[in-house]
Amino acid sequence: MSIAVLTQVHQEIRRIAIAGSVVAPGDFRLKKYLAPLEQAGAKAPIFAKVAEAVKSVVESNERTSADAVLELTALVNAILYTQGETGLAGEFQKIETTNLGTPSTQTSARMLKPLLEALTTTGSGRMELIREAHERGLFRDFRLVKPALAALDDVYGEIGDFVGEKILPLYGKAILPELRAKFDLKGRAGHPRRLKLMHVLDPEATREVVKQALDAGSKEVRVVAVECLGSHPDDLAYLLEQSSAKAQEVRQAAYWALSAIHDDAAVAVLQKVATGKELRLAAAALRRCKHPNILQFIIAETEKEVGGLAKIKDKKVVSTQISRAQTLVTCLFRRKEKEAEDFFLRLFAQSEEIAKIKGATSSGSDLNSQVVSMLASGTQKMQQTLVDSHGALSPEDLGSCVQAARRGLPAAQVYAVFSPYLTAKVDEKKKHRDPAWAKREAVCNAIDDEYYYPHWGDEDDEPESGRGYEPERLPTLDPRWLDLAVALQRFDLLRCTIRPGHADANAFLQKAFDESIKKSKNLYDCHDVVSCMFAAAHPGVVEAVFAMFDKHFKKLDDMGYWFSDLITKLPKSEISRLEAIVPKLSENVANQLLESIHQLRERKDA
Amino acid sequence: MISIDDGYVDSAAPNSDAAKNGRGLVLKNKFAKLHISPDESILFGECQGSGKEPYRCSSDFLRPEQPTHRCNCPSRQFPCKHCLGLMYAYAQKKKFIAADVPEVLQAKRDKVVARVEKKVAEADKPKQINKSALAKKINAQLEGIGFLQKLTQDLVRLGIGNMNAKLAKDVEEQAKQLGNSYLPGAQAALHQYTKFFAGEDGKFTEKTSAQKEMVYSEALDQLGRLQVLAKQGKAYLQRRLEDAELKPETESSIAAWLGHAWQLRELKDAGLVENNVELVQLAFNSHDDVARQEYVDTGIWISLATGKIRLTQNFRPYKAAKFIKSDDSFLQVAQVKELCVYPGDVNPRIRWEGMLSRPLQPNDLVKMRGFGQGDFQAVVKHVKTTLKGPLADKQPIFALNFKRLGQVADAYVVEDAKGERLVLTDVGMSEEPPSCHLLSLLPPSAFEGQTLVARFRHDLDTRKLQIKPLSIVTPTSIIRLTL
Repeated sequence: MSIAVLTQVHQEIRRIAIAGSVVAPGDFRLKKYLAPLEQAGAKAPIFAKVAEAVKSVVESNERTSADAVLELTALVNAILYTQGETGLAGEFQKIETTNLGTPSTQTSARMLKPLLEALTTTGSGRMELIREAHERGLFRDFRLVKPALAALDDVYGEIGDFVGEKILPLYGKAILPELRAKFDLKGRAGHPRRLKLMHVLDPEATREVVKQALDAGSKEVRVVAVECLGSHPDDLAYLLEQSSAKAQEVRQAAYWALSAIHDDAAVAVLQKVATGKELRLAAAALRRCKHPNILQFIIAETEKEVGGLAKIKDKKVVSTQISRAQTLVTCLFRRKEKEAEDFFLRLFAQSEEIAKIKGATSSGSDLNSQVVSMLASGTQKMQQTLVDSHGALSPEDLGSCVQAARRGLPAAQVYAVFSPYLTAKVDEKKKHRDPAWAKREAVCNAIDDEYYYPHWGDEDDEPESGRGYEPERLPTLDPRWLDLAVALQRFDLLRCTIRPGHADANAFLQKAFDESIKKSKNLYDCHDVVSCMFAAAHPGVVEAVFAMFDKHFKKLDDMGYWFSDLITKLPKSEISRLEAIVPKLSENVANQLLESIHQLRERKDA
Repeated sequence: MISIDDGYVDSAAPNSDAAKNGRGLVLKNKFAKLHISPDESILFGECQGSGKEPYRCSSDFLRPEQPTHRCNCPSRQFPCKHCLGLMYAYAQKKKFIAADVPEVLQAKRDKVVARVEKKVAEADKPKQINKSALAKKINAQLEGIGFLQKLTQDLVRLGIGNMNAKLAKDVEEQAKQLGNSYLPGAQAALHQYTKFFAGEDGKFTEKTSAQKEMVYSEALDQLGRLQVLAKQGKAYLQRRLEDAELKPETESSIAAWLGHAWQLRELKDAGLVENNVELVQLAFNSHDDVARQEYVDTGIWISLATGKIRLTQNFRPYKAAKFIKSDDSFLQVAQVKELCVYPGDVNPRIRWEGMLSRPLQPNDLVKMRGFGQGDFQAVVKHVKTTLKGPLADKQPIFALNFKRLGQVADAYVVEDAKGERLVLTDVGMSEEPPSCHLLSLLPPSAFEGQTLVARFRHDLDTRKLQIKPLSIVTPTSIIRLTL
């Protein structure tokens, strides 16, 4: 009872302090507690003391009121501090935990602090820090859970994606409540990532949220919601509905999801799309769909488009139809079924007639090139057919033919078929005007291109590109190519075919280096040759690197990442020699070289 | 003989950039001269900088536990990159030529030796007090106290509800007068009040009525505290004015509240020293104190001998943060020869000058768990008794041995063997990051029969005394919940 009065007094004094102590003199609301306090004071002197302090406040004037209010505040607060409630009645329940393994909280604050800042602030350089911390396993420290969850909304999308895909799944279902609490159906940026993550962690429990997202989510959230569908029997109905959504991105996601469902209704949607204006939008989905009806449908649709071309006079219409046929053809990329094989071989057989069709922007030859590239990535029979026709191909299509041969034929046969193009007599002055010259260059370029940009092994090329692609490993080239490269003095061919221990190649490289260092105006001018010398395990490569330094260090203001890369390939025994160069360099380059030396020192040699 | 390695130099560096730069100087061959004294007690050399003249730097190991670094470069980092480079060069076995110590340097060394000797000699002598200077200072402080009292009363007259961003800014300006009156502690206490009207970034912005409502009780409590500080401070200073021989008070924390910067010598003189102490860090946090305009690194330590929980605090003012080495979490056992303890309540501040370290053993954890208090009722009584002191630490830390940790509805609770419960919360304790949410990530074994290190807080609005979990000591490890 008395404590209740004290609480009331505290409320009143708080009110007076908020308004200002000038209102305290004669305050009737405070005054009314005087009597009960005096009464309680008879039993406990502390209440008498409070009563006295209350009286001082009430009887104060403008000058003394502030002091009186503070005195009363200090006294009442001191008592209330001793009356703090503890405990909580109710049924005791165990905490539902997620086993993260043994929690590792032994990371030092000096290491965690920059990471926390990287996750919770903005600015450059954060992605590297986060990626490195992930690789070092620092995110096993569960104190980073909350900041990592917040980083889903990072303004830099790459961080949000990385955290959502690589880091947060480490914590398992423990983060689901937080994800659910923060998730906003109408949100953008981090919210689609939240939905995706919730689905990854617990698809069953997230199903209801996904349904809500489909009904009322923002465009971005709906796209993710559609991506979450496909594995449940009820999903088809939702996907069919979303395939006619207003937002193009949502429709595209729905097509993609439908392409994985073997159902007539799903196929019907894709077929309908393939006949309309959204063919390009659905191309990836059509390519992914392995339903036999789709294959037959695309073949029929393409043949219909191609078959009617000859009768059309309007070049614009011709262009449009060829364009559609090209897109339809790409939908059968890497299809190995007999029907697809026959279809492509039929089309290839008609290439002469098709080449005669001229459109405004696209012509029959464009379609032919598309067919050639499909043959190159098709069945062995398709590839063989293409290689067999190599003599009839244009220089532009010969490259695809080389690529087909490298995948379908033994290395020796590839050499036998295509090396004559390199030794053929050509008119160097005419260049492209001489078909022999153009074909020689096409063969060289096809080999060179795949050395630098290997084709991607795309099992399922998703609409938004880029997930989990691995470069395709091609069979090694016949060793005679290197001899040919040396004989023809072609550096572009040599660097694709180089191997250690080839004396003539080494001599060629040495000569190439001597010439390039002589003419070079900066470090980069020698880069290709020296890189190739490393690949050849050339005995002069170390001296070549130091010669580059000797010639260019005075004017050097930036080493370039590619040169740093070369430094890290040197033998470790050269570290002291490199360190001796450091004092000669500008501050910036010296720091770059020191970094490379550090990497070289840390390199783990087999 | 100087015995240092790269690791030693790394740890001597104020930050990782300084270490990297020092190492770079060696690799860039920037040291034109590298010398060592014939008795191998000092390294000195010349390092080429951006100017014409090289920097002359030295690392003096005459006192190995406390080496002296000197350099004529303008850097305020200590040791500077040149001294670090010099040590790296020695650690990496670069060639150091034996040479006599230059006269100028030798003179400085002699001064240090003399200073150390003098310090030792003076340690036993009673400290001479310049009475007139002290009286002048105390008078200035009394004047400042008068100003604090007047300002506090003006703020109450004005009314907390009428405070706005502009007024709070004005008060901060006026608070500088307290700093000029040798009352930095009182100034910080006043900033604690104005902080209620600032945003998280320390900038004064207009708050909504709802936001203001949330701070009124705390703000009023702080005003009450300022009033008590002014009164007790005045009485204390008057006592010191009357008796010039009177030492700063060690029985209470009033001296620290006024801003007395305790020197280790004073603490030793006052007998506030413990010898050969082993300490284990229970928690660590580094926070940005916008009121004080500085970063504060706080370590929470337990003594393996007594179980007392005390704090290390490293204050790094914004303006000098770059030049002050930040503290870090410490995961081993610190062996301190001479531990100085500041006057204070439950968790006083501690400091030491040099220490050794050893790995944490399971036996240490057993000891620490043994110091936890298993009777929550007794702890709560202790806390309440402490809290009623107006100048007491309002968020004391205790180690609690609990029977089980779990949930009642949505709240986390910890329960002792008698069934007494304490509620866990993050509310109102923003120095450390939130920690309650981490409980759901712990293994179930952490919830039964462990020791919880927790910070208590009484909420003036809800009138609840609750705790914030800082770490859990298990038989195998210390699970840190904060940073």
